[in-house]
Amino acid sequence: MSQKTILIAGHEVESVLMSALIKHYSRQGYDVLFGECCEPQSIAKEIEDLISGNRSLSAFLYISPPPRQGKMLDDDADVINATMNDCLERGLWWIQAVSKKMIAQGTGGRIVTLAHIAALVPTERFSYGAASQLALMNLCRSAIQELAPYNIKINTIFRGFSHTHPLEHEFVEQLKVLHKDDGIPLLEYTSPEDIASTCYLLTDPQINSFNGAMITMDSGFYVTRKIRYLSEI
Amino acid sequence: MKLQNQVALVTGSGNLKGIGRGIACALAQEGADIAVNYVVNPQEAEQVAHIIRGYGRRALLVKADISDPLQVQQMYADIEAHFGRLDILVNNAGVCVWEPFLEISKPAFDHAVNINIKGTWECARLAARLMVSKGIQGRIINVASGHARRPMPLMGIYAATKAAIDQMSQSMAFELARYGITVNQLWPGFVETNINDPKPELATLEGRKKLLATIPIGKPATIEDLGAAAVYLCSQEGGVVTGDFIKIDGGQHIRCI
Repeated sequence: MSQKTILIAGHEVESVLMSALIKHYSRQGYDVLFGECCEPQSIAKEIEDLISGNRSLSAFLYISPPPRQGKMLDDDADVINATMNDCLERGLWWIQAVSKKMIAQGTGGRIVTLAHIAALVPTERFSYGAASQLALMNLCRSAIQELAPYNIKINTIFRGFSHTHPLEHEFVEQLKVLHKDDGIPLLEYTSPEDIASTCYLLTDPQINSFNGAMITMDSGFYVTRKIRYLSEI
Repeated sequence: MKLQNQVALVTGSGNLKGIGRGIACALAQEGADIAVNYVVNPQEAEQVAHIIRGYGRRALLVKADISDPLQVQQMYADIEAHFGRLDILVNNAGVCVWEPFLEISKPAFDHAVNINIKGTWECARLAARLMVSKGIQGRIINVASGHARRPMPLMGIYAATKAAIDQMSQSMAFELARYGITVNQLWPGFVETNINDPKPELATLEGRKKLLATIPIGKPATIEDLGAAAVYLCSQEGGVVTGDFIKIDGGQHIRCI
């Protein structure tokens, strides 16, 4: 019997989240491996090297980078250039290569992209860098029909703000002050354990019906937030 | 006239059959002078300029490939030198790529992303700067697509770029509202323009029939329909609409958004 394996690639996340993911999947009997390549021509080879012997690539998690900060009127055109290459392009090549591997195995598989809630909400400072995450989700959704015959499913998680990420922590604390009279009860951080459990749910081979889903894990921030500038106009 | 004495830049408007031409002419009919951006065909762009001048408006031809930031900078320098201001940007230039997900190639990816995302962003950024520097409460319209939220097979890259434009437009609207600049999107459905010539469904009569059957109202939108929507968003009546989109698709994406 082949050893089920989850491959994780993309960008670094907070160590507490990575620990939660490793712990969760290991407990379920998965080998947890990490891909590091960025170039399209190297990714397929890295996958072949990692998924060897009796291993079978059952699941893949692509981690989008934390949204870069930037403003439209600033000089930093790089905020769009870099994120499109860092997130969208790297995500495309990884997911394409993983899909080909799963097709070659003939086993199907589950793919999850871990994006950020800022990709859905026009949030001052964070949003431009997050456009790539929404783009990646849409790209994956367009592939669903093509990958369905191979029993490959792709879903997206939009995680909320991290307690341990310094910039996100500062941002949320400012939002809490701004929204203190707005009656929004759900401005909370998303726990790493919640994210790991949801990743597992979406990669569970026993569950077939999730495909093209986008799950917001933000305690209701996306739905309840009011538009508000961080600084006075 | 709703746009008297205003100046508009419409990217990708040098094609007689294109959405850009429809929008440029509609804005001109309402009194706006137009910068007609084109890349490949100066003769056809000149014909568009000729139509605009026929409405009694000024027209300036500006050649620029919007995927090249230096050409975009030069385009804005030319517009400022010629007209002295910019009130309206319609970010219309774009490309469509049809490739199966498993066969998407780097050249195709770069081509679409450099024009549809990075070019759109750069044009909007420089327009916003020009408007802010002159205290103009201008209008930016980004032409996206229903595919921003309704991805389809073979259209992965295109759908990705349009989703990025959707998200970026909302961010722009949020950031620029404090300067009185509105940012909205037009989402055309199927329009009979050159961009759709390679569309696989249109290769046969049967395919075309099937495509039209996906439009509840039974006919494609026209470039004039797009022009009318652009006029509304640029007019005084549309001045409080920002961060939003108008679908002009005969109901094609009605169940998907």
